[in-house]
Amino acid sequence: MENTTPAAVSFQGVSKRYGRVQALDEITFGIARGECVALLGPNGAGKSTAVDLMLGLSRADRGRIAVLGTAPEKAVAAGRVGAMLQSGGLPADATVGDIVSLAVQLYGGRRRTAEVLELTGLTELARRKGDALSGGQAQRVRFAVAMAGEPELLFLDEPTVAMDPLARREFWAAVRATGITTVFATHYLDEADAFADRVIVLANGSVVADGSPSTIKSMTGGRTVRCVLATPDPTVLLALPGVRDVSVHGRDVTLRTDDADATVAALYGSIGGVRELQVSGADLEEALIPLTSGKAA
Amino acid sequence: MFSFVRFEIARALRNVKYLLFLVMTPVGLYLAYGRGADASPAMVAMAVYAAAGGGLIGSGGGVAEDRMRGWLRQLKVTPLGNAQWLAGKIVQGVLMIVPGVAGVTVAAVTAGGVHLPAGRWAALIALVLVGSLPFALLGLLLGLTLKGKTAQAGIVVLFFGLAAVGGLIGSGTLPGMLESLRHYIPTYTLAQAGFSVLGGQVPGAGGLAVLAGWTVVAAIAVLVRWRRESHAR
Repeated sequence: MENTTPAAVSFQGVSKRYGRVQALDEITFGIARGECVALLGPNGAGKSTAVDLMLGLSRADRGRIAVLGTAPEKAVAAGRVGAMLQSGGLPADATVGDIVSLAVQLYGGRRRTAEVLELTGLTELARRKGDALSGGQAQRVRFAVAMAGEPELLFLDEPTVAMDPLARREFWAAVRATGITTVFATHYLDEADAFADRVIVLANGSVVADGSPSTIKSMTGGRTVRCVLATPDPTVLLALPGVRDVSVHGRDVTLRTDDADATVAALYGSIGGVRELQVSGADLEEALIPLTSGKAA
Repeated sequence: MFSFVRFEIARALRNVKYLLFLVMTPVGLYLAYGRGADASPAMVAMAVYAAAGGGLIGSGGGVAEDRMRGWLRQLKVTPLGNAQWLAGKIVQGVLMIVPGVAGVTVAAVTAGGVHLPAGRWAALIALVLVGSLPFALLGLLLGLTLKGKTAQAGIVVLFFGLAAVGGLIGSGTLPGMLESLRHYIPTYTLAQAGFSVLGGQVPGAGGLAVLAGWTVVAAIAVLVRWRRESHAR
């Protein structure tokens, strides 16, 4: 199977420089079909540069990029890719219906305009002009443009930047419902955590981490497990799987762990009498600080 | 490409300011000055005015804004190719002159009492349509070169400059160098070609060569600029 179906995206030793800024420095990664992958990193990390390269909007100085087994611009020209750009503004003097209908036709009429409007919840806004939309509504129009050709691959650059939390959740529900291979750039860490199968962390043009959200978390910081035990014994607690650090105040126990699941299972299994258990902390944001601050400008 | 042209024209037609400017101004000027003996030449001058304005503003005005807003980038990640985009914008720029030229023609026939043989009407309209090509390309070039409101202003300034030097607004000879310079200005040569057609003559080759030259130079400049736009951030 893997020989017959090329990867959705493949970067091999890709470098890109803008003037004096080394936007990407020999980065290598692959994205398989069916994955939903977040490109995560602070501003200036190289996320948008990577997205531009994947879309054929700019060319790499060095390295090889393949999208759906072909050159990025060929995949785009064939309408196999849908994209929502960070700065993809809408024309002020066209209606939502005009824009979506144009997109449907540019992609060769694979869908009906009404169907795409329905899918993206824009039916009622079809007659609204491009400059009379809220930030979230405009993003939905961009999403409709990206979806107009039933793409095999979706690129989303900071897709929910103008959305409130509810709109964000609805947006992601719609994206995940499509089942399309998705690559999205974000600096919302909770967004990568909640919606990506895999996170590629970029910092200063390099890949500094690549794995599932929970792997990224466990790479640094881990998680914190708090509970109340009748007779806590620090030595026993430190021997539990995953535990790196123990602090006990009376009956209150705080454990730092690399594997919260195993730690919690062991707490219940071999110690017992566990009350008021909480697993928290070391969210992705916390986890990222040591990863991305190394060479921060 | 046709869907793209249709989309662009629908956009332009929604823009009421644009229509007012491109139809009302030449028609208004014609009604003010184009009576009596001057009815026919004034019609040609105002048709060229509408052609130059429609070509420049129709194709270039929105490009700068589209570029600034990021709509061009969005279009570039659809299957719409660069060449198709360019062809679409040029076709749209030429088609956008139709309302202004039609308005002037209707005013000339009804209010100005202009009567011409059918063949001469056809030749005039064909000349003005084809002759609007360099203006559409110049507008596109400015739209791709200047930013946002500067582009809009630049296009309007260029338009009135070309209209004045070309003798479309105002009359008589220009002072000094400008009088010989105007023979190389597309508004002037297009109007002169129109006057020839009006008089039943074939337009002079020199004037047509000037128009062709502007078209080729502007087309090359647009292509170079567009290529750079495709890869630059």
